[in-house]
Amino acid sequence: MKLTRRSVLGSALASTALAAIPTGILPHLAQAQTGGGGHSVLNALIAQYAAAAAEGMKNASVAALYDRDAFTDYLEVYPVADLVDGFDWKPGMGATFTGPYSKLEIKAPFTDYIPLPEGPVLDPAKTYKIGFVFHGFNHPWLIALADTAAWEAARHPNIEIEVVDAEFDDNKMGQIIDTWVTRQFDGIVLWPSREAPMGPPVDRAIDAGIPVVSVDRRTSSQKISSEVLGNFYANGLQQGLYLKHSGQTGKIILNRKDLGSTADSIRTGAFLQVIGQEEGFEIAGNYHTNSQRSLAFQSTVDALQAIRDVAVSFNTGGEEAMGALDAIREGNRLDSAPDGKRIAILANDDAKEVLHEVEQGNIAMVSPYTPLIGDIGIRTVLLHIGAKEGLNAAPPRLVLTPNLPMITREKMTIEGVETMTPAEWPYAYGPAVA
Amino acid sequence: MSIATTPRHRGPAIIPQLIGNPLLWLLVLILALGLMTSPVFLSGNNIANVLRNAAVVGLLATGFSVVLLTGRIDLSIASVMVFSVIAGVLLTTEAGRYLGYRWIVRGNTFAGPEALAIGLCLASGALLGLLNGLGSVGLKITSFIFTLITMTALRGVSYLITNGAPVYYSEGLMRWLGEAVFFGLPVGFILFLAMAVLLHLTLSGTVFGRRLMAIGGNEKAARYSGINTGLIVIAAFVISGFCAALAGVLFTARLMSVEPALAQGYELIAITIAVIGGISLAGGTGSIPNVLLSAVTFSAGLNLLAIWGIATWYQNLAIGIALIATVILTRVLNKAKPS
Amino acid sequence: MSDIQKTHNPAVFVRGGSRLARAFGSGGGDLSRLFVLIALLVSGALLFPGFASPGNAMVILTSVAGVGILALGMTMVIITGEIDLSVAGIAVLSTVIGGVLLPGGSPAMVIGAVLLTGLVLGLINGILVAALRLSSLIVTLATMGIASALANIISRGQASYPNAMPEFLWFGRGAIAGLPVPVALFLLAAAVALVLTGSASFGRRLYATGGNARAAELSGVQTWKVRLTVFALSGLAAALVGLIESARLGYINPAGFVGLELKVLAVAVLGGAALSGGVGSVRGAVLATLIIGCINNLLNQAGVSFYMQQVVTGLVILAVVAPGFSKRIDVR
Repeated sequence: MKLTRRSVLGSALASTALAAIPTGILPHLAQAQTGGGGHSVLNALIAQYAAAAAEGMKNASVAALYDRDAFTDYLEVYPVADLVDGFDWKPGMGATFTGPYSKLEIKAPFTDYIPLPEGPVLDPAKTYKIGFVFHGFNHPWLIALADTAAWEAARHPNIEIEVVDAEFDDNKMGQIIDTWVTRQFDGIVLWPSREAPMGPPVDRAIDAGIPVVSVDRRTSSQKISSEVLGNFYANGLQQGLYLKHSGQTGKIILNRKDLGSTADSIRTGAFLQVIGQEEGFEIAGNYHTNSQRSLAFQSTVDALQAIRDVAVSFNTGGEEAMGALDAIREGNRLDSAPDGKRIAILANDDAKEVLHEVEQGNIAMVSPYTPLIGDIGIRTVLLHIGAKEGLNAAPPRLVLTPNLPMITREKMTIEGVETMTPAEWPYAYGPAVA
Repeated sequence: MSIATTPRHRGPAIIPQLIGNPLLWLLVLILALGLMTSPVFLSGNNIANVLRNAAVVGLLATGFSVVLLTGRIDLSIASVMVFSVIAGVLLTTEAGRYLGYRWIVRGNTFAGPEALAIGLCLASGALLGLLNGLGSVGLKITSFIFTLITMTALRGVSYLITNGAPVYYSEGLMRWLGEAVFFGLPVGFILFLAMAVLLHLTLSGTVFGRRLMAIGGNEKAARYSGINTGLIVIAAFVISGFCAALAGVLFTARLMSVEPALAQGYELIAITIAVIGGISLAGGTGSIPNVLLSAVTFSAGLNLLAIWGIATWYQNLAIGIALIATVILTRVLNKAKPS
Repeated sequence: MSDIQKTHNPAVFVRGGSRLARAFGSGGGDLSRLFVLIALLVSGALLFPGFASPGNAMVILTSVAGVGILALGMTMVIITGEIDLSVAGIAVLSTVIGGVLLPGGSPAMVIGAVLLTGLVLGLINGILVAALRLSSLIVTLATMGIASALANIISRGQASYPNAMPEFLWFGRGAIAGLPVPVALFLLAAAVALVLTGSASFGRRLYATGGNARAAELSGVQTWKVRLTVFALSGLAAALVGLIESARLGYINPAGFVGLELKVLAVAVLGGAALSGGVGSVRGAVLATLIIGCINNLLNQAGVSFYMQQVVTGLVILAVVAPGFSKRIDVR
């Protein structure tokens, strides 16, 4: 187990949060109750399986992969904590609107989290310039993220927002941030594709007195004002919980995101933590398909040829899952798992496409990873600006988003987690399938 | 055909040539527009940022141009850029382990002697350039194909040896390289300037340089004149690799980290800058100072578009149109000139 | 032998090499390609029980059909001494335009628009290269950038789903006489390319243009027409492949096809097309396509990581290409 600077800091924060000891650093969490059924249930399960994995894994095949890709390094620094101000999230909450970019109807789940009323914010006489930089204006998940950020900004007439796509070039994202610093923007929100390269530009912005907030993925900056974090851990964990619960065992092929990314390591690691304690699973194929549908499609097609009795297809994204499903269908292998069972396709990312397939019974389950958190980032950065101007207290450094329950065709309860059905889930993003 | 009649390396030393340079006017236009439309465009901070970016893509384009001048192409520069930095850091760590030091701390932070790592990085770049040169000359595989192969292979190897994970730099020389400014010019740009001047003087003032230009002009004739074209072409590739490695040092110094996923597609940016800078793909035509000018113009132009808030897709459209416009313009101007 | 006749028979360009190798044309490389392919098939069959089955053969052919069609087009462009880096951009812009017409459009309109766009874009490339005599590397690099940017702008970054149009999906998921449509189209493209390159009229002019353009011009070959034709065909091929791949995935994506041109280039070069022009064959391109298909399939079956695959593919190309080229001394 490697001891990294982040692990020390991360464990300290996590244990502080979980113990709910009042600290000078995190006053809001200090006042948190153990709020919100689903969120804390999943947090407890995360802690339980992490502890079990630390003691060792029963499944040798899983343990081999787990050790080889050093998942522990990433998992142990990933924050697991309560929500800000003891927020209690229930499915059904959140505002409905038309996405400014996608022009699709969106129901965003967390618009009441760290709320800001509509209308002029902070000092009504001033106009605030906010920069929102991300990647992938042509990726459905990312467009939805931009949608929520732009929507939040539009709610306040004295906010000007500039939304920029850095096209997965980390250096370019850094340049964009530097330009905003030069133009003396008031706040910056970013969706970093990779952690390491984003540290220095964020630090420069902070040094220039500009609050910076990251959403979903993290940066390596120690000075960043706030990080709005998605529920990677609960994602992978639920994919594992479902599989365990379903009783389906056998060979697993994994379609993962790029090696070394948080999105890959936390989800896959959490999944392995659960199934690593079960006999009966074997890692038969391990591919990095980097969020590309065509790559996942191709690797699944080839894996199916090599392995005649694939039982499970684990995917760390919606694009990957759709690619895998298309490949399985093209090869007529949908029901080719041992004993004529259907291959269990596990997905995350609650795209409408994916939910449709869950409804049809083609994809076994999907663990939502909602992109509709851009608005939280905007509100958080506005509150930081307000704190700077002495108008309100600053939000905490870590802003967790509520853990979301998994979606399955039939409603069920798995280890205390009550699943949702596709029809019950109003937050799916992306265009509807014909 | 003697060497005396082969193309000489042109430089901007003559005022009339400067005035007639369309690229210079484009830069002036960009600066003027920037001054008029934004209070921050000509601020010290912004200029420093523009010049830093220009230094990285400029170094890539400059090394690339030296190879182009011989009529070859080096597609691997972006992969070499990233791989050589990784190699420099990892080799230094290995050396340290052998000597009993632990130069990777906290799991993934490099705390060893940066000078050594930079030296090994530059050496790796040069060696990879040597590999490209040998492959293109010795094996006589088209440089396009060979460097295409090394481009993809090196990217893959970069991932494999790092397992996709980044290596962070600790405070020290790297931070200084990324941040220090002298008389308004960032250190990186000063290094780029020095490299460009050095190469320009070499190409225009030395026997080696004249021979290199001769190869680009007419390789068969050059060979029949007794020039060892193979060695010179290999040297061009070594220069390209070295420049890519230096670009990598500056690039990663700004990010205070290195990882295999960086700089994908940067070879296309280098081609664009080289072509807009007047380097002909056929070889033998072009000047390094113009490439420098092109790099600065490119960086300033994109910076201005960003300040204006132009969306990325439209920026890409603009780059493509600029490229086509440049080649069409060059063709038209060439037709107008007496042969 | 006149210059034209010399350039028509590529085998004559090879200096050295055995008579058998020369008989195979394209620098004798086709023989080594055949050997490599056989070696791959044999080792694949030995290592993986399912490898040599007709089912897996169809899988390999289906996945590589798209690249293969493009490689045929690319080979013809390279024979004329040019290069087309814009195929990925053409593929994505064509399919995006089709996607924009999907709501309310008839199958004929959508599919027609896709193919027409590819043809037009190819013609634009051809006009810039052939008529204005600009470098094809730069032109197609620029058109690629412009096409991808336009694809994003026109689609506003949104994907579209052709699931409601079975005629569209047929291109990726249908079958003709038991063969998956992509495979059938690949065979058709190969047949067409074989006829074109082997024909006394067009084929002769094709190799002449690439072998020695000035000599060809003097002999009355209108090289600009030849270049225009091959770029138009390349553009059409790109649109067709865009159609096939989008149909297979049921998904038209403005972010798709990234990096396709390099893959196609690698296959074309592996197939013996020389960037100096005048050399290349349909047979070589088909063999190279099958080789790449087998390698990818094998590596995926073996669970080799995506990153290692890149290294391996590079080495294989090197192994096949290097010996063939050592005989040529004027290649840059």
